[in-house]
Amino acid sequence: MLRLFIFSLVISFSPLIMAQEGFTVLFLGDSLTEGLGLETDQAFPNLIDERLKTEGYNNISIINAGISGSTSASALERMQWYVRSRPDLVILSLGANDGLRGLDVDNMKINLAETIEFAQSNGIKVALTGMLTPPNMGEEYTTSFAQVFPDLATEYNLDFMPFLLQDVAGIPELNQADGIHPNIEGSRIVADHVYNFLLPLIP
Amino acid sequence: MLWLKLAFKEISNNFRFSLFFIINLSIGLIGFIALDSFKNSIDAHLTNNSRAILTADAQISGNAPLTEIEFTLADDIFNAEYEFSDQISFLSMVAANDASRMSQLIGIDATYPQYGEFVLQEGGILTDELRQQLFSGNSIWVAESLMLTLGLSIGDSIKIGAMDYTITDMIEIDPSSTISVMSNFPAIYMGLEQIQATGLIQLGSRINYSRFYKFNEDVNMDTWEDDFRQAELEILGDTRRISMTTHQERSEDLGRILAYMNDYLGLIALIALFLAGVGAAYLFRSFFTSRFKDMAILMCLGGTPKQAYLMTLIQIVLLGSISAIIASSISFVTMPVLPMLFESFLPRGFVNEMELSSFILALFLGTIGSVICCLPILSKIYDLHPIALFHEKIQPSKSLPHWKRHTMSYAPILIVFWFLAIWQSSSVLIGSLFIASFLAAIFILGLVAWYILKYCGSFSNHSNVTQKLALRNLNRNRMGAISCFLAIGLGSLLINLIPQIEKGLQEEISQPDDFSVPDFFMFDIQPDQLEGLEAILASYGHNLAFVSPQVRARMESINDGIVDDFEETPDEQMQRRRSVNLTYQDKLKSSEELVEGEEWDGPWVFGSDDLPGISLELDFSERINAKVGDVISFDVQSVPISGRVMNLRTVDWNSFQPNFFISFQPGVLDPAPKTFIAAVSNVPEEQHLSIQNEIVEELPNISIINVGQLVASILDITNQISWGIKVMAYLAIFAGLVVLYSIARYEVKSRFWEINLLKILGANFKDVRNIVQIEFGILGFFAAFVGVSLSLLISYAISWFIFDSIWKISWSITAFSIVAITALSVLTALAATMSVLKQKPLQLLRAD
Repeated sequence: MLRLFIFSLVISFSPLIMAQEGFTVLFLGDSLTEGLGLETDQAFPNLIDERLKTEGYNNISIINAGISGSTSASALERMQWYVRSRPDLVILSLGANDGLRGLDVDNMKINLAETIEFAQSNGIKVALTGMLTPPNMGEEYTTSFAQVFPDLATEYNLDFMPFLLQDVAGIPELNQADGIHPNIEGSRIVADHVYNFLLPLIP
Repeated sequence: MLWLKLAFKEISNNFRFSLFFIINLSIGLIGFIALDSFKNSIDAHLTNNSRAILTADAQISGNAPLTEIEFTLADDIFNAEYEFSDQISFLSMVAANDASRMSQLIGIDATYPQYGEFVLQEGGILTDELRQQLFSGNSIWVAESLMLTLGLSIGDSIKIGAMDYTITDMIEIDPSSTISVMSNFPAIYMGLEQIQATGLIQLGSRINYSRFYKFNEDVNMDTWEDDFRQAELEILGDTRRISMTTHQERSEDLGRILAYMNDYLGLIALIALFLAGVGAAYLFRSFFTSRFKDMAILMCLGGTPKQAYLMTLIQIVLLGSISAIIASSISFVTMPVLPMLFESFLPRGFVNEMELSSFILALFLGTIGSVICCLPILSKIYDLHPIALFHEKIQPSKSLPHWKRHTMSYAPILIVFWFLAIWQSSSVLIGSLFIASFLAAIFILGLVAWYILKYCGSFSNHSNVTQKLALRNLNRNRMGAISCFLAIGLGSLLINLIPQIEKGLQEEISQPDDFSVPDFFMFDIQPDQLEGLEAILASYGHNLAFVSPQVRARMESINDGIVDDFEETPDEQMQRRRSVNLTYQDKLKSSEELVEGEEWDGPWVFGSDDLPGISLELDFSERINAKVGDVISFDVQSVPISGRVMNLRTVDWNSFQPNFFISFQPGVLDPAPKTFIAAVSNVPEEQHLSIQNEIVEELPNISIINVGQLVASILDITNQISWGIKVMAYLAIFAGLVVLYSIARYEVKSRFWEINLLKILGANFKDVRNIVQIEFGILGFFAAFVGVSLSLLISYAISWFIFDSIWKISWSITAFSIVAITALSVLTALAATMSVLKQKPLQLLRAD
């Protein structure tokens, strides 16, 4: 109880977290969202933010809630933390690390489902981006992994972008030396795709 | 020729002295050879170990197939002949018996492994024949843990990709599995061609391509990794496409401790040399003084000082060479046997290697070293006049020798020791500082001695006859007493220096009191999973230890200044994004020590006047330039949170506990999204797999790393090092005491004349004994006291320069040094006195 009390106090004095005017989009994701290996303003949510501003969408604010290395297991707790900032829309982009670590696919589905349910029950619109896992994981795993995202989208009636790294994954010129994180050119392509996906969702 | 003959005769005539000189010097040299060869052996042993862990000398790897560009890049840096072995590895889900597990597939060629032992359960140590079997058909070798988890036995098959593979053997020992975190996933070995045929290597696959190198000669690879990065940046424009790893860098965990060990051994060798130098000079001085009369006679008979000089030089070189040869022979026989004696302490496969260089060095030190140390005394030959024969008590001239000759006789000692100090410490700065502090110590000791002896004179007025005599003796014979004081003081300094440094190093290497070897480290534990995890462990009778919350944040500012100079963070990425992992805790852990500021008292209360407290790790605070009292602001996942630095702490990184650079007072970060890190200790081997499997089954996102084997092997080596450091410290004390013994003995001998006189004048045994006792008690105690105090100062300075300020005063050794040195001085002096007292005064009159 005391914990909750302190928590609410901490939250209440923080200006960033106060309900903001206009429309707030929360990007809940992993290193792809955080922009690992890039400057802060080169991460795709930040590029979208910049583009929205230049195109005159001044009442839309963006929160980049990407944490490198995070798996779907952290989604619910983080969603609970950010719900205080009253986002209107959450772009849920988690799961890539589950796939890279070969984590149980059913479990990932449950984690994401709980997060979606929690957000929806708090009046937050949820949009989902899909993910693939590298072919070396074996066909059986990669297939069942990829299927989780469209299944969830159907089940919860979500706006769905089939693959976050569309036109970028596997292309060396668009990725950093590690072969999985987009470089600045790659990040711009991701931002363009997500921007087009996002725009119709904004009132 | 005549002088050579005479020199021989002199030596055989003074058989007792010669024997003593040889024995003393031999002991010193044996110690030196032992140290040197032990140091080389440790080096060789660890090199072999780290080679086995990498299975090669060096490796380049990248996530795209390696091409001629990369190979040429590496060749340019190696500049040496080599053999190579290629490898492809990646992670994949493999399935059998309706279950699947993530595994690490490794494709090897016919030259794997270049170092280390790879052992199969049925086939035994890897042979060409076994490798050929693996390369034919769809054969694989599988790690034991995967076999158990999937319920497999040899002969069964596993589905990898779209194909089935037959398990032809089980891996028992995989040298590369000890240190790599990747090995957290069980390994499956197959042929290089077979792995390419799995169909899993496609566009988008995450594959690791490596080439391993084994060099045909010894190469210095210290700068390779940096050179490679540099060349890569210049030619490929990116440093992360491929990376080079040398076996030296691979065992990085141990690197720091091993570097300490190396510096420490170098330091001991240096101190041993100084001790040997002081000892040899003293021994020779006593011999030389006793031979003064003979030399004066020789010169009466027409010999020139030059000839006398030459003869003495020949004697020293002869005695030194004999000692060096004896020491080398004894070492040659005993050194290979030593590891057998200490078998239980030494690592498996430890071979004490005898290096030719150790012998050459011993020979050099025995001969040239002896000559150099005796030069200042030798130079006194020039001041020797036949008139000395008519002095009742023959002593070298008290007048100072000509300044040029004086400087010339001391200069070689200084230069040689300076050179040796730089060589042993492999640093001009440290070597020079060592010599400088040694000279400063001589000056301080001399100064203190001067004042103490002066005070002895005035104090003597208030004492009884015996005390008066003793004190006045010291005061009158001030120059002689000062040189004795200097020798004992320097000896004490050197003796106490090593154990003092040893104490600090032991403290650093040893684990905290509540330490227990962790078997598992767990990451990414979600708050709601803690309970479930604890329940699983409880069912096996274990507890979670060191549970630490981890909160991701970004450091925004320090005292409102933007943090842009976030240097030297190990992770380039963290640096750029100023990402930090925060934790919060009630109080410091056992592995942490407060160095500045104070601990917080309970959780932070919202609304209190001050900001919540922050505790920073000392080195980290220096990196970000933050002090106690500074305000640091963070962006904790979109919430700005500021805190005030309340204290700085050091962290014992050898504690194998989760430790953080930044920790917060509780009550602030508690509600933020976080994961937990934890460890589990004392898990019996047979439970490892089932615990691991159950956690993977129930709480799949938790990363569980079995570190038991890794930690045990690190502990094994640190324990050996700790043992080595201790043995060396005792050796240094022992050698020092031997030298002190010869110093005290010489000093009493030089007082035969006085003792004799006292006896003739009617003093009884007791009085004489008391006088000697008081004199040597005062000299011994004060010299030891000042020497030991200086050693504390110097050891602190050494720790600061070489050992990252690791220093801990050892009161027990300090007290022991003072008491032991005082007692040794008095007892040796008394023993020598007794032998004088037993002789008849008349004999003594004739003796000299």
